[in-house]
Amino acid sequence: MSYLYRCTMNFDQIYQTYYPELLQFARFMTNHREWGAEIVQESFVKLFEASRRGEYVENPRAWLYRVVRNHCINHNQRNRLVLSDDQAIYDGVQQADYADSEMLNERQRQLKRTISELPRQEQMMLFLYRKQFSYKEMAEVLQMNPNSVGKTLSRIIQKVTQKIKEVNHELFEN
Amino acid sequence: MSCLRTDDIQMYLDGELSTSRQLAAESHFAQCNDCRRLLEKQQHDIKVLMDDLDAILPLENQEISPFKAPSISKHRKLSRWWWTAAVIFPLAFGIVFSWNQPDDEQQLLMQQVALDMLYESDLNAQWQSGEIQVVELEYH
Repeated sequence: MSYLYRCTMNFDQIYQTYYPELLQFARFMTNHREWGAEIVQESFVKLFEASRRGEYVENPRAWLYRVVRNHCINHNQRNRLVLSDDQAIYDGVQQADYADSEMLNERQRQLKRTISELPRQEQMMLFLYRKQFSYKEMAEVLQMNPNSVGKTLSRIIQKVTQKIKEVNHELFEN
Repeated sequence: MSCLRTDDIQMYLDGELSTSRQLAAESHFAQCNDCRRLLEKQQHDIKVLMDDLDAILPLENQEISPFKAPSISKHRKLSRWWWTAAVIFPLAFGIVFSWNQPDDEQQLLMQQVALDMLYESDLNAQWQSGEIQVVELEYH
């Protein structure tokens, strides 16, 4: 299997390493188990072809996330399954893909509701932040200006925590 | 250095400030109680948020489906299109031309016109070479 240009991992290693988290991301975006898996496969096929052509992929992880993101957006639009910003992202999701909702505490349920009300771009940003993406990588995946990532991220975190505190203040205390 | 904004604190916590700004922020936190409290609060909020996010995100499934390598390259796909075009276009032309084919009567008429033209051109050549003469007929 060919090595990606300037990348220390070969294609198989990249596949084994990033498949689980990309599948999680695709499911988060589509709310569908099979579609998510299909999109991740398609994205890896793109990377496979790029590596075969000897294309320059500096950061395969961010590259794959960007492809998965674009696939998910196209897929949702094509299937008229656009989960609008107002719509709960967990609508119609297979419960097997999530932790038992009975186990969630009140603050986590509130967070779930709050996140579902965020625009898709902001939901994705929180996801990537959780996955410890750098600002540069986030900008690459979300196709935005790297200089505005810090400000946007700070605003999202403030917005989410503020909303949860409004509902139940003591839940956020130490 | 003046007090830090929330986005500066966010960038400080994420290690995204330039080295000089990072150092300046550190020395400011050492002097400013308000900013230090804000830093601690923001750090706590982020930790709670990230822990809760783990609980509500889809589970990270460790089962990895085998990769299905593409069997047909883009180049081959293109060739297949060309092959399809190579079959369809002659067929389409054949259908169009057979549709406009003249019938027997039209063909006979066209042949007659062609013969007439040949005959007239032959007469003209004969007249020019002097083989024949034009005789004016007198009418009585």
